[in-house]
Amino acid sequence: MENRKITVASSPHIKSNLRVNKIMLDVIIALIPVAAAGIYFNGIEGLFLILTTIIGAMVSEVVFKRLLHKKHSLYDLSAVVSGMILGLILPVTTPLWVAALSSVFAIILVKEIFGGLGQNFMNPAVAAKIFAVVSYGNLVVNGGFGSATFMERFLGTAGGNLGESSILAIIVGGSYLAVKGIIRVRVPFTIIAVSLLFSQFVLGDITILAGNSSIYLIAFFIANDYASSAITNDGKWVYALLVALAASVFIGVGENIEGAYYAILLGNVFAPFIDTFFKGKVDMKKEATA
Amino acid sequence: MKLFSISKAVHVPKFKEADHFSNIIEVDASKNMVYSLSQQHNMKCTPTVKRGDRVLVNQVIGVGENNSVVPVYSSVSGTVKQIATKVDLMGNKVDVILVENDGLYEKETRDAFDFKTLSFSDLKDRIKDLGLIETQNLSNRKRGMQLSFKENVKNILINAQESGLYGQVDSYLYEKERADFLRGLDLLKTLYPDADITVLSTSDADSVIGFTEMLKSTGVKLISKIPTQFYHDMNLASRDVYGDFAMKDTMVIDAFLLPAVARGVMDNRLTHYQLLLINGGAVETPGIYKVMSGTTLNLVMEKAGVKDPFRIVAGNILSGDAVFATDAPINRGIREILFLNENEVSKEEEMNCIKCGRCADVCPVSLRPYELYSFVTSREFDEFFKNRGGMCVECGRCSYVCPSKLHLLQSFKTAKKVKR
Repeated sequence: MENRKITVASSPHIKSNLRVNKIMLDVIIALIPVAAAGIYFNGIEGLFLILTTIIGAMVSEVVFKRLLHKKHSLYDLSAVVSGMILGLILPVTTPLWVAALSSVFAIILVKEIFGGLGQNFMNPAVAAKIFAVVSYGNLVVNGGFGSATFMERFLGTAGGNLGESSILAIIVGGSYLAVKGIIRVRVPFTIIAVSLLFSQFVLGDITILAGNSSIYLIAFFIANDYASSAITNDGKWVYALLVALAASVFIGVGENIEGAYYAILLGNVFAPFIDTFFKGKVDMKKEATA
Repeated sequence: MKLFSISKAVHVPKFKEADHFSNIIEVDASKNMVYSLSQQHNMKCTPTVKRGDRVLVNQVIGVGENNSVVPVYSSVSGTVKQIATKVDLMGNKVDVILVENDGLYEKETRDAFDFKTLSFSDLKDRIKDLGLIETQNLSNRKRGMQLSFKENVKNILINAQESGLYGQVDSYLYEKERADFLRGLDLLKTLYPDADITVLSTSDADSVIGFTEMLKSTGVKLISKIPTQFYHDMNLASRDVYGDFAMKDTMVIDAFLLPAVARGVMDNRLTHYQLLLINGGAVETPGIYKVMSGTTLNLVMEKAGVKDPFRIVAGNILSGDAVFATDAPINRGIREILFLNENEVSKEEEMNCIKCGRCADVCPVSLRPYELYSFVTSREFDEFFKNRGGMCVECGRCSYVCPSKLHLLQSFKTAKKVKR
């Protein structure tokens, strides 16, 4: 027999086109309208802020991987996504050095220390945002939106964090992710529905939370972070409910303008615990039939 | 709840347009036939012939050591050249009988019997003696079991939707073996007068028309649209068709074996050929090949004009095994052989798990592959089995959808072997 070269491997012999960097690229595409609205309403400083956090995240990832004698993993685009989200949730007046330091915190202390992509138990961008707010309280000041009406908030006004300027832009970007199947619609649906109901029936005015764009931003982009949210499909409902209630209480009752981000951290910490409740549930039914 | 899960729609899609083959390419028996004595995994037959013996068509040349092994028949007449040890398609060492074909096809006569007068256990033995190997559920697919009929079944599911991903073979049933297939249905109706018989076909338009037309006066139901496109374990299909707890009352029969059963039981004729779907980028003339049992893969490759395959897959692209040696005989039970080019095979590197949960969404037995994978990588095999890892049906869907390209199925196979 002539020397034929055939390869042997375990099945399946074909794999889908979906890749991590494709998912991340979709997230970046979805964030573009949010970033564009932020830059349009807040001025060109917004662009510098986003660029600083993205470059800071990428550089810190390369440097940290170099220190560990590993190949960098920039091609998976997760550092870009983390940097971009971080830039979008910082106020536009943040000094650039604080933004850069926060992105280093996000990548090295929150993501890489725990094992890199997919191993972080908290959302890196949100953790870094809280780090910036807590450590540099005088420099990172979220001015809020003053007396803007609901319609102005929906279409877009200056103020607040960079990505929060237009609710419409957030919904457009989020719908893209939902249509592409990157996120589970149940998470933003639950978060938005619960906060609106809370706003209407507990606070007495639906526009208090409906006009707060940070709710929409976390619902579509941050609560859906794969690594730090609940994995099980049923757990996602509970996780989203927890985040929504915490965010509603922090913003509506506690009147903390950054409350939504604290709610995300709270949800992240509880996510693995929530998953444990939904593990054994299918066992009985499936085993009876197998 | 499903309303809000758009990504639940991630099902294993068709990789390409399924090809339709209506004509059948016959592969002539070669001068030297090779009969594997281990057609079923880990089950051996002992040879009943010696070197130099003359064998006839229908003659038993190997008998099983225990009850669950089917006999091996000679499909040609000729002389036994050698009984040797060879490597089979999957790379296992097996004993084979080499027969030199004299081209005369002299037949040994078989004892006549009337299936209507037999008791059920006698009938079961007769069906076992047909030497047919079925592959309808996971353990059978891996091991190869003899076709056996259950007593007292309420539902009979006839599976004609095999190989839906790389081409349709089911047109063969309603075009070429129509008469025998209908007789097989009659046989089932005589044996199980109260059973609910359903044929499961692919949702392909031609197949639907063909089967509807063939089955219209038989009273047999046809299901051509099923929730999942591809079943690895047909027990899961019976769960989808008849409901959650119907599995133990359901008998699943491979539709492609039914004509052979009809011929064997009603006319006492053995079927010495098998159908193979040959497809893939490295094949010049893809199609349905009718192959005599005892033919080696080399001969089929020559006939089909296979040029430099990068990988040869015996079975489905998602769950089939890679072929190790091409000069081995094609075992019964193999339906589909794919000769793939280098660019048809995916060879991406693994990345970290991003915990997206897509693998759990597509798992047909509701496992959590992301979690099982972490148990295997940290070698916690007890935890693996506690979390029902042993229930994995090895369908390969989790590995297919994984965006990080993790070798999920491979790791589960490894873990199962470690426990054994």
